Amino acid sequence: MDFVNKIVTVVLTFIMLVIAPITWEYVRSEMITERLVLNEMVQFLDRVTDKGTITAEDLDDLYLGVNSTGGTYDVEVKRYVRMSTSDEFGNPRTIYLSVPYEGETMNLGDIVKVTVDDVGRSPAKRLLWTLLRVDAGESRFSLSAMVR
Amino acid sequence: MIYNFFAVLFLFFMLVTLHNDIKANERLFQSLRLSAAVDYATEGAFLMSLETGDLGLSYQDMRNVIINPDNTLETFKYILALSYDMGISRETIRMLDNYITSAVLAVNDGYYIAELVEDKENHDGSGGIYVLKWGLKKPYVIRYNDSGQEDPNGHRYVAYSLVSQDWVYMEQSGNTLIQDSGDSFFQLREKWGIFPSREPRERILAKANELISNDINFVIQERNKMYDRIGNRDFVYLPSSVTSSGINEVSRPSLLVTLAGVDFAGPEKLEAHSVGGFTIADKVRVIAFRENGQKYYAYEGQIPPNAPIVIDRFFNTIDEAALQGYHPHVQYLANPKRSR
Repeated sequence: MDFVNKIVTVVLTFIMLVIAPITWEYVRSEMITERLVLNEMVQFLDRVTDKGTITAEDLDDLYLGVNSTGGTYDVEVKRYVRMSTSDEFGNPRTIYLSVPYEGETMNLGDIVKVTVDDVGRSPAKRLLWTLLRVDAGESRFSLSAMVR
Repeated sequence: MIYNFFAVLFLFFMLVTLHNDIKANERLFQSLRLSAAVDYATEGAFLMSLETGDLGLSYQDMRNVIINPDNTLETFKYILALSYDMGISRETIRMLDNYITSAVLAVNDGYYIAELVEDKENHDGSGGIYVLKWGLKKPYVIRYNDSGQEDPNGHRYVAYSLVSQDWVYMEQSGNTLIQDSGDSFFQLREKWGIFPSREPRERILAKANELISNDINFVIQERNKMYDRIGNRDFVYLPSSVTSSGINEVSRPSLLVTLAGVDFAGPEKLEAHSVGGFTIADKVRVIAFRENGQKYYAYEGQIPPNAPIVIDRFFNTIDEAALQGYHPHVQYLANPKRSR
């Protein structure tokens, strides 16, 4: 009985002193990473909506900025042009059509949308999955702004 | 044995703390994201509301800007929907109405407040569907009594403008209504013996902000009652001048949007507030034309100089063009409207 207790003590010590701090730190850093990525997206959107063009440098800046935060992200930039058609009842119906932006000058009212998709499995996710079998799922978020 | 029991207890505490920490971080991130998305949507919506203006006119100088609230709310919802990867359908747009507790578009000579109204256009007879639409334009009114003093129960009404000295005077005496208007405070004093105060601009701004905050808060209370949300949680306060903490008053055309109970942004319900008001660019007209016998529309300056087209007419918005049977020209609409 005493022996079993000792084993349990060792296991508990290991969990509390090694596994718990690592998990905690990983989860925290992942949360900070997400906020940094959001910040990069906001900066990119502010810049391109002010300028009205999306150049290769802007895109490189965004890709580098997003991926230097630590995660592995797939970044997608789209430009939407607002169009209006009429539906079967004669009411106007607004659609947004994705059009190419390379080398083009965008217009006031166009919408630029950035989507960031977490394709890699971060340490926090891997650890949580191995230990607790918890999967928060794919983290994917977008942000869109109008060209001014 | 007893030590192990304590250890397990501590482990449990630690797990609870970790859980709370993750939740707090998640909530922080989601509210940051929502506020960024709402800010961009407000800005876009405000840009869409500008009816006309001159190139290079700045936000500082918005005296003669005409603002049309037609597409504002729709644009707001479209951009928000795009930010959250929702499809742009009528259902999505209607669903987003539930989260907007109030929206105010303040323009130079009055303000609009978004209200829920019954949608008659798409009524299928199965009962009313309520949608968010702009209400009537309300002026910035100060009431005066007979001796020209400000009086909340006075029967002389003067509507002011936010940026100019324009005024509209109304007086009801018996069954007759006297109406007059002018464009300087001097005229107002000469004709009707009314002078806003020693600092007329400050008084008018204070009154305008008071009117807007009162109306927003009324709308928010009513909406909260409707959705069984409790109390004064969404109270909005607009100061009459810039406060030491940096809160700006409404002194120029701006758009205010308040969202509450947002549950599409994450596991928890969030709230967001945003005020927009931005630089103006020029408004470009829509050209309706025929190419190879097909009716199309595109913006001014988008059609290449040598394109084999026949121009039919001009429109102010693409909606009007679409209703007249013109189709979007997918290729031209991606061209620049005008060289920047």
